[in-house]
Amino acid sequence: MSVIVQFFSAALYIIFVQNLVFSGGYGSSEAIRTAARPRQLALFAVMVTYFSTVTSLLCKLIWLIPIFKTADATIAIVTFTLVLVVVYLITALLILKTLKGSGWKQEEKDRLLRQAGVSAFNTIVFAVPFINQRVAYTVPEAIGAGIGAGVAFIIATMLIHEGMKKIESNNEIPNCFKGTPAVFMYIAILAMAFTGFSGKSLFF
Amino acid sequence: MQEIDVQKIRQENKQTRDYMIDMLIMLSATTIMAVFHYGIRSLIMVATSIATAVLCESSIDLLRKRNPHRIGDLSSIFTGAAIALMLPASAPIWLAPIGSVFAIAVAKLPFGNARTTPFVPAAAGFAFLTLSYRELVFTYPSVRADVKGLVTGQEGFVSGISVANMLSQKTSIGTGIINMMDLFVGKVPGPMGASCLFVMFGLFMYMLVRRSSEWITSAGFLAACSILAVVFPRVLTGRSISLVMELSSGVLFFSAIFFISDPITSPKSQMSRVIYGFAGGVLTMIFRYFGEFEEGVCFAILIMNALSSYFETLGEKINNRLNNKEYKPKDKKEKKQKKSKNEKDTPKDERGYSL
Amino acid sequence: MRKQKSSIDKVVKKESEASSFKTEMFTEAIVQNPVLVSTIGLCPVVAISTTLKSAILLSVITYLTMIFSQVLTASLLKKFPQWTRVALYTLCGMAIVAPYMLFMQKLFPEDMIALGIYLPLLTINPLITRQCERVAVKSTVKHAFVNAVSSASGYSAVLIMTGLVREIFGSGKIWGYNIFINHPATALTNPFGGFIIIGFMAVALRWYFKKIDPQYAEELAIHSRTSIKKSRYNKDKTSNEKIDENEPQRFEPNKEIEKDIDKKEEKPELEIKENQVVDQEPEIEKNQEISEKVAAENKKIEFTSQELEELMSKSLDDIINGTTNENQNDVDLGEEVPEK
Repeated sequence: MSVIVQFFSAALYIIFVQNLVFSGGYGSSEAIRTAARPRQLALFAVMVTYFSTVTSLLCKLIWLIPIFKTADATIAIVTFTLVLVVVYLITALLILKTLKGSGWKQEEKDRLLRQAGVSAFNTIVFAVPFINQRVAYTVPEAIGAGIGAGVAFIIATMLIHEGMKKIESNNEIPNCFKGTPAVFMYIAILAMAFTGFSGKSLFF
Repeated sequence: MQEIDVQKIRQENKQTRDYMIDMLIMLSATTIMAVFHYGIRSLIMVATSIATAVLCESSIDLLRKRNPHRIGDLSSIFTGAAIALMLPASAPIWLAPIGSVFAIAVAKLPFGNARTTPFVPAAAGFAFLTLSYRELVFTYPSVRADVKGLVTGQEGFVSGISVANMLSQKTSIGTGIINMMDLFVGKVPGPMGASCLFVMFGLFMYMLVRRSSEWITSAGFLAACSILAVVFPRVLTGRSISLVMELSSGVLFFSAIFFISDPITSPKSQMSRVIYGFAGGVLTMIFRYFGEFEEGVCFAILIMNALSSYFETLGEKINNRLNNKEYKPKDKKEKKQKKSKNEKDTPKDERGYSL
Repeated sequence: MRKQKSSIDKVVKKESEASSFKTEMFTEAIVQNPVLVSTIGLCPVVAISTTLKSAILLSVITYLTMIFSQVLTASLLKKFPQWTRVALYTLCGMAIVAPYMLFMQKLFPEDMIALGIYLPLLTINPLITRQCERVAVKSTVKHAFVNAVSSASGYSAVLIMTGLVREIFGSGKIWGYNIFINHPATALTNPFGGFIIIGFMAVALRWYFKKIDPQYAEELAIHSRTSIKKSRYNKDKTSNEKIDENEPQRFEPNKEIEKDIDKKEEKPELEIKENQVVDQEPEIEKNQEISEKVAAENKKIEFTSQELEELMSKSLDDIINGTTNENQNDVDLGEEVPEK
């Protein structure tokens, strides 16, 4: 029971109280670009969630090995990067292997792999192991944080997409603000509203 | 072509002005209450805030070279006054102007004029002040007779414990500490224009008469707040006291009347407005229960503004379900219309607000 | 399809060959500023450049990682397949960031703590991936170096400006020393403050573009990276996405028009030839297949002409407002046809 509570509390914390995209700023550029391409959202969200969960769990498990108890931040960077790279390479190889027999075109394969690359090497995925380490999350909490990061990304993307729609249908926007600046401002106010939960970003 | 535009802008300005005049009449009532409790200083605060907002708006008018100035729609006056009235009377004079500059420059300028802002500017300004100057915004003075002589200084104020602060500590409160009559009259420490329940109820009734289509959002909002206050009280002395205290504390009632009901940022149909208001109330109470600050209404309102189009479709779905019709998303219809040629001068803004 | 790809290659090559350091600096740092125009690598800018000092620490590491990984890519990594290259860039970043952290922790221990978990995140700066895939893979070592320096300076200029503004208004200091502001707006040190500041900086940049090149400013306003794109998958899968996320912002309307015209003029000729073949009463099945294909092509052409008529009937404003990046070709054709 306590495991489930830990899992959900960590996930909800990362989704709402410290929405990683809005009050942390992680992965904001990916969120903006995905929001501009709504068709890619589903695939991208699934991949981000997958990578963040797996990386978070693996990093947590590796960090439980007694050798790492005295390790400092530099070793953390090296190990976490290696874990992420290995996870990505294995995933890419699996994708290639499963697609070998099927009739996918080379372009489509490339596109899928590119998506996998963009979603794996992404600050929102890479931040989760460091957050786990900083807040000293347990294993179920680490899984919760991983899934929460993906869901936080989806929520942020959908909110930004909604804002973009409003901005595009708005003719009154001053000429210099059209496009990117107005989107930045919209995200700023939205991020301010989410910051209201916690007052400041805590994961430093 | 230009003449038509000018006429259109004038018409829009007039519509906005009609709405804003109602709002300003309502705000003046709370201003009178603030002057009654805290003296002439509160009036000066409101005036400086309004002056800054108007100055910002008119400079934007000049920069953008808008021919019929948008300043005529009075919305900047509303923004400035609302921000000042949500602050404590002991706040320094420069605090409210910062909020109104933020509201105009960040929440309004990038999105055009008062008719096209996706967020309520005043709520954004107050949220910014909350995050930046937490101590100044949430330190309320106690209401005393000798304070009324103060004009500019702030030394004479004695800080008191506001109702929202009591609630956020979640400790038991004896009925002796708070006189119920004081709560209703607004003689407890709190934001200078928002703590008098009698006035707020009066404004609520005024809104029912004058602005019944916007009133329904506020009603949904207040219903959600009161239900949650009764079900999950933060006071140990009783559910009814919890209800009164939650409603009278902070700027909850104030923003229920002035912000959540804003016809520009809220959805159009009546059904969706009720749901929108209700969800806003729930979110507000979540902010109060779990949030960092003792008052999180403005954050909740900003998030609700961002979600308003979802509530629009939700309300339509429910309406159609009630009328036994199949739901057809609006977008497809619009696309079909677009494809059917010869639609040259349709206005781009499909939302078509009626103020 | 092949034609389009090769033409883009030509454009890229032209850019790479002809550019001196000055023009490269201008295009990469200002015209295609990574943050303000292309919205890439926002996380460090928005979240962590809260003071001038941290901004400078971040920009130093940006320079180092960019130069290292771009030069390495241009010299060694060209032959790897793309999906492995993406991982290698991350390893490059790690190879720079980890020693840098060790070194800086001795020099500025307090500032490094303030940078927190954001500094490690620079190992996967998407700006590196973008620049390597866009430029370094196809160019010489020297050009890759120039490109890395210029784009890194565009990025770090934004970092330092954001850091300075936030330090002044957010904490009332400059380089740690107090200045006259007594009540700074502390909320600006949150990520949303960063968004506000880069928003206004983007406005300033847009205003500058408007003075230099009004057409480019107009393009940015309509076809910016933040405008919603619909039906990307459905319409034409043969569209020229070289690098999915990283296509160059500036499109060349004239060339595309020329190409399209060429196609249209070519296809009717083909029809005639094929029709002649059909007239000769062919008995082989292959010819039938060909004729079917031709019929299909004819249908396609008719469809496009219908579309053109529709486009003509619409006013230009409607098209510009209503279309997304996908429909650029349509916009151009709409302009072109009335001249005939």
